[in-house]
Amino acid sequence: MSGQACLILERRILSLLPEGLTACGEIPCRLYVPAGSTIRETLEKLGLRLPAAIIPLVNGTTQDVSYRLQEGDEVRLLIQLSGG
Amino acid sequence: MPPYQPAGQFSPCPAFLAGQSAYTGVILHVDLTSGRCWIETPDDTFYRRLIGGRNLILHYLLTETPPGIDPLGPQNRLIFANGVLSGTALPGTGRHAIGAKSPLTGALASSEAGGWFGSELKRAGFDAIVIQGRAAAPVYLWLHDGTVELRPADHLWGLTTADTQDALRAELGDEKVRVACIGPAGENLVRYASVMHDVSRAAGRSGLGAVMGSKNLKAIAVRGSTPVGVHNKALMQTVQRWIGAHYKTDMAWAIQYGTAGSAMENVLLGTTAIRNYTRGLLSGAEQLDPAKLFPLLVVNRDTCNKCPVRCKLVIGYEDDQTSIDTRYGGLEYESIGSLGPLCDISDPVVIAKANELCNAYGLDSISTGGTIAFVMEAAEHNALPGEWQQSAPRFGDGESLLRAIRQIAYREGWGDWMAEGSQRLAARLGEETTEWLATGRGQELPMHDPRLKQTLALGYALSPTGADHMHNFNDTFATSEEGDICQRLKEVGVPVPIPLWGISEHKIEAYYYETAFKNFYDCAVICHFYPYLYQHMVDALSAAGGWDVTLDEINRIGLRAITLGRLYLLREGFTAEDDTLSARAFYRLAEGPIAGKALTPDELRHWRTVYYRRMGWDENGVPSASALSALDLEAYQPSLNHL
Repeated sequence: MSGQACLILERRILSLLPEGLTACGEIPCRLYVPAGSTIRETLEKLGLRLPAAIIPLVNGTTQDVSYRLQEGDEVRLLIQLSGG
Repeated sequence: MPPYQPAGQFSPCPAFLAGQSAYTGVILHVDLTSGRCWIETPDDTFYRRLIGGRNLILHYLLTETPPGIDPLGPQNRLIFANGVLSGTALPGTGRHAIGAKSPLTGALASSEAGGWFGSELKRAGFDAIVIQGRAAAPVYLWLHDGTVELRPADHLWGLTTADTQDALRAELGDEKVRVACIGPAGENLVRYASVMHDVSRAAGRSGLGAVMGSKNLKAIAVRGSTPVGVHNKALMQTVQRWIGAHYKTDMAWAIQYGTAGSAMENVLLGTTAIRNYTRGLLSGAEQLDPAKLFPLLVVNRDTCNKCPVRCKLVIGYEDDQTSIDTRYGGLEYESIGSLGPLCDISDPVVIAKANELCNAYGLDSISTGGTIAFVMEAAEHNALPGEWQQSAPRFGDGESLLRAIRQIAYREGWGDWMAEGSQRLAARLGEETTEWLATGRGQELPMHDPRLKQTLALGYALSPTGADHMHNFNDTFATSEEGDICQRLKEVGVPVPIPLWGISEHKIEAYYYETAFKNFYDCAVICHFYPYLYQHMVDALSAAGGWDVTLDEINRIGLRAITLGRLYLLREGFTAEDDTLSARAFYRLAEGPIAGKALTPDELRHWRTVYYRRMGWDENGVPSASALSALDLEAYQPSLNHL
């Protein structure tokens, strides 16, 4: 599949990245990535490894990280935390 | 059963006094009817097999209470139980468990709390307290370095939780006395009243506060001076060093914002139920963004015994209309969800005030929010009795929420009905209202929506405590190999990561192991936020007791708690047909992040049976003799005699 999808990393997830906020110049950080790969594969390629699970919200719908990106998708990456 | 010793000044075992054992060897029994106290000194085998916490609670409920007792009668036991690891230097062990037969569900009540109470109890020389009977007038229990005193508490009756703690500390002349107490809700036997510790740490679920109130026991105050040692300090230090090196990264989320920090994301993902499970989107959800919520409300941070994370928040607020007392701590995610979005409220000041009231009155915030949200929906359908229809709480109306909380705590007016919980309330209102119930075994669902987290839905249905998110498997936490759940599953050979949606044989296997581990945590008793792996627990437990613990033993301790819980359910008359959820858990939304998602009741029944099989239980959920034998639980077989 050609085209791009957009990954949106918001303040919370950026603050938990080892490199902190330096990876992006703005908040939320918008990363344009090729469509066709799963979200998990895309995160691995980007080297985004967090000490917690990430659940993607794709065009407003909750999805598994095995979701395969399609052109034009807007993906908010949200972090899942323990209990409470 | 080990012999009981006469009342008097009680002393821990010599190994504990010498700093060579993590357990005191002393379990205190108190009969409030007669005022008699005595101790039990179990042997090492008892501690190694049960470890403490939930296993200890179930042991006493199964061996000391007959089936079918009134949870609010004197025969019920109220058990405060440490685990072998409670109070040690290992971070995350500043917790203890409380249990009884639940007045909300008629099943097991087993809830854990952080803070300092459990650790102080152990320093005072006691692993657990087993309370029976009913005092003729209000009393409190004062435990200090092996001494047990029952004192009058008429002057404390009616006080809020913080005022009770303040009064006790003044009376005892010691600001470091640790207090477990009930507020007005427990005194008034609200079926979901909590027991509060250090004012802001709740053993919230299933009505333990009402059991305490039914016994006329207002508070337990403890003070101890014996440090909690371990048998093998060097081995324990290896685990301490590991967590010391990892917590700042692995628990960064908790350090940063605590559980409150996840509120907005959980709303966006569909984790948090909105408007009694009928909506997928929350107006004003951005107000729950921690970047906004923290500057508005958070005045300090707090922690539990030996915990460097400091995930607890101290909330304070003052304006012309609202004042929030900092003594009551909070907010946690569960309280935000149940007192906020579930009632279609997103104003953080209203939510924080509601949380303060729950902590002050001693109410479980989850069941309080769940019951009020149910009433709000009933009001929308004009399903309430005439006068109540006019004054009932309404979705989105913060003032009516706050008013309802007070009514519940004092059983004022219609609060008397709400104090019974949503399931009993639905039974009074009429069959058609059961469609709006969100309960498991009669307990209001936690704020992890079972339509999104479908293995958790199974866990809600199976839990002997009624719907509970803590000793459970959380689908959304296991989708990444980096998380501690997947790391543990790898240790026991379960492939990871785990798919988010649906249930499968693969997910049942993950559920089997992870719920056993979480139940082990509730026996040991350890904070669920700590990302320890099996090997850490093998080392910690070996160090604590001087044992040669194996990974399989950790698993079996957890399976023991699950199986004893099952025996308790069966003994109290529950059947496989009760292992389900109410209608809202299956209600599919038309909008929002989880639109169209939910298990069907048939799917839940199917996977329930698959799990029974995995546990060695028959199609009715009855453990086989060999399943009991494999866990050294033959002694509890008589619990099944009625079947």
